[in-house]
Amino acid sequence: MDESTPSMDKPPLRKLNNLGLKMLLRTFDANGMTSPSGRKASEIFDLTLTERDIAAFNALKEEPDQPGMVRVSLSTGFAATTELLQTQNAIDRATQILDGHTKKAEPALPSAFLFELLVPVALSGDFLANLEIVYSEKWLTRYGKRQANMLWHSQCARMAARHWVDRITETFTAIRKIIW
Amino acid sequence: MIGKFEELTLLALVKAGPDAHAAKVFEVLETSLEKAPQFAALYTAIDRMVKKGMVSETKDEKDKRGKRLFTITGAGRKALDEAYNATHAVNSYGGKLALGGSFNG
Repeated sequence: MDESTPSMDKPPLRKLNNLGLKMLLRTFDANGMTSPSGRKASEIFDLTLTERDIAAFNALKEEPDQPGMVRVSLSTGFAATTELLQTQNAIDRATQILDGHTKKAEPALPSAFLFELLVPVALSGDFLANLEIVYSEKWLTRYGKRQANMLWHSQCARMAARHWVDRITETFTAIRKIIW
Repeated sequence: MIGKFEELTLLALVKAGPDAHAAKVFEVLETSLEKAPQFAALYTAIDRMVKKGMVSETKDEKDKRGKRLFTITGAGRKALDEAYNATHAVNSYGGKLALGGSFNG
């Protein structure tokens, strides 16, 4: 059988992409879904939509229909959503699809090895977690990978420098209090 | 008395609401100011204000990495009010000068 031919024994989520799935599950969640599959779906997927997701979703709407393709929209009904998610192995298959897409979509973060060596873990962990958000959501889309990487490294260097300047200043202040 | 950058950071923290992480505060500053500050400078400023007691911090239980969530404290609000009033006082003096008032009052 041709790969593109729709088949009844294959779940309709087969060709649903990561973005469509997020949209679908968001609707699912918004409808106050309480079934085990709904809870599982909510646990598995991050339902937060970024501006980029919405822009990509709008672009997706322009795509021509393909056999076996499931179209989802923000107005996808509760019943239709439930039906889709109750399809045999739909969640497992969707998880696999989403994992694949997420791995592809995740930008490779620049190295922060040196920064982690220079700054205490308690500070570096939180700083990098926040810098990751700024890097992926702001700089990468606004400036491109090259400049975003430069900003990443410059901010890490500045943070390390500021941390050690603070420590030295505190030490000198303490010494001065003892002497004078 | 706090510095101008600390004042801006506290204002952004108020605007971001309670339990805001550093990236959110940065976003507020970035959208409010013409020239965005350095992220490292902002983070250091918040960290210093935590030590001074102007900002309180909690850990985000939902986040795997336990992100630090910041909220302005009473002392922070007091410092912000003082800084804001001082800026206002200087601004009104500058206004008088611009309208032809003498430097000696």
